[in-house]
Amino acid sequence: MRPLIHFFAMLYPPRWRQRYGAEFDVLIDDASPTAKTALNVFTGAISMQIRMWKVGKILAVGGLAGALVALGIALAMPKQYTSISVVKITPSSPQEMADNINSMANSILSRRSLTQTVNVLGLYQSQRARMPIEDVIDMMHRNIAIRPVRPAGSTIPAAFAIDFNYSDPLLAQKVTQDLTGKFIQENVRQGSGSMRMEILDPASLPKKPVSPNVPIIAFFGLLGGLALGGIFTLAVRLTRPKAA
Amino acid sequence: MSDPTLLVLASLADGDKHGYAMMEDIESFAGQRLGPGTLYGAITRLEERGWIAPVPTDDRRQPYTLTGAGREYLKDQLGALDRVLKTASRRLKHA
Repeated sequence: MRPLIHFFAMLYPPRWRQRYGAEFDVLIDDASPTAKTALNVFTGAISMQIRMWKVGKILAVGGLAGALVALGIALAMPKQYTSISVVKITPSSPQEMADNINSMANSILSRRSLTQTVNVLGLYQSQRARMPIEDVIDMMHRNIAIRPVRPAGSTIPAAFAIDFNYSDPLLAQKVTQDLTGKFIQENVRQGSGSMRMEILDPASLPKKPVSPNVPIIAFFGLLGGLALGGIFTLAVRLTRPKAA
Repeated sequence: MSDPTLLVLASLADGDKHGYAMMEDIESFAGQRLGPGTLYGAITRLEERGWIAPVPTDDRRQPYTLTGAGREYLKDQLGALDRVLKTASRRLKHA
């Protein structure tokens, strides 16, 4: 045990060892060579290292630790993928298009229709195990976006996009395909005036998740670590009694 | 009283001592055995603040002595502790 304790004593900062090393080694030889003593010398070495660090080193270690913790959290977070399809509309006035799409969306995104999709495709299985189906459908509704698409330089939409976010890229694509198909069918069923729909971009199979944004989360972890390091340094300086 | 710096100051109050003698002395009057890491952490802080100083010696064991400032600090701390103890005792009696 004593060689281990001497090894732990070598972990003290060189500047500290230069001043106290010889007398500390004598004390270790005098003290009982127990596991408790070894642990005491080890924790003493670590706290002395931190105590003697310069501000820059504390900030660097704080920042690095913050970034690593944030990175771990970001990697543990569930990934979300977005599948997108674009449907071209011709010819139609902007107002007619908005009215027709809103009317179709009310039907396609109704609770009954979405419940059917959830059941057929087996979506949100873990959520369904612990939440009522109404809450699951609300969640799905929030993950769907229907937005107008305007050609470059134009203020009049000529198409609309259907976005769906989900944790599985393949299922995200299937749901987007399903919703797109329902819009085409609904347009035919409603016979919506002069408006014709054509799939411009079929539902995409997302390759990369849209969230979590790992670099941004790691960056904020870095900033948080730097801030904590700064607060720690400031606190130590303010609470340390002045030398006589 | 478990603050190692105060225990070291209290140990040196009756004369110069080296590390191992401080450990033995503190255990005898406070019933607490400081590990080498804890003891030298306290010695480092106390020397930085000028409350203790090394005594020149030819021995491998380095003795330390209480400085005037250290003695004043110890008196202040004991005064504060005394007030706390008296207040606590009085309140316990009336409780």
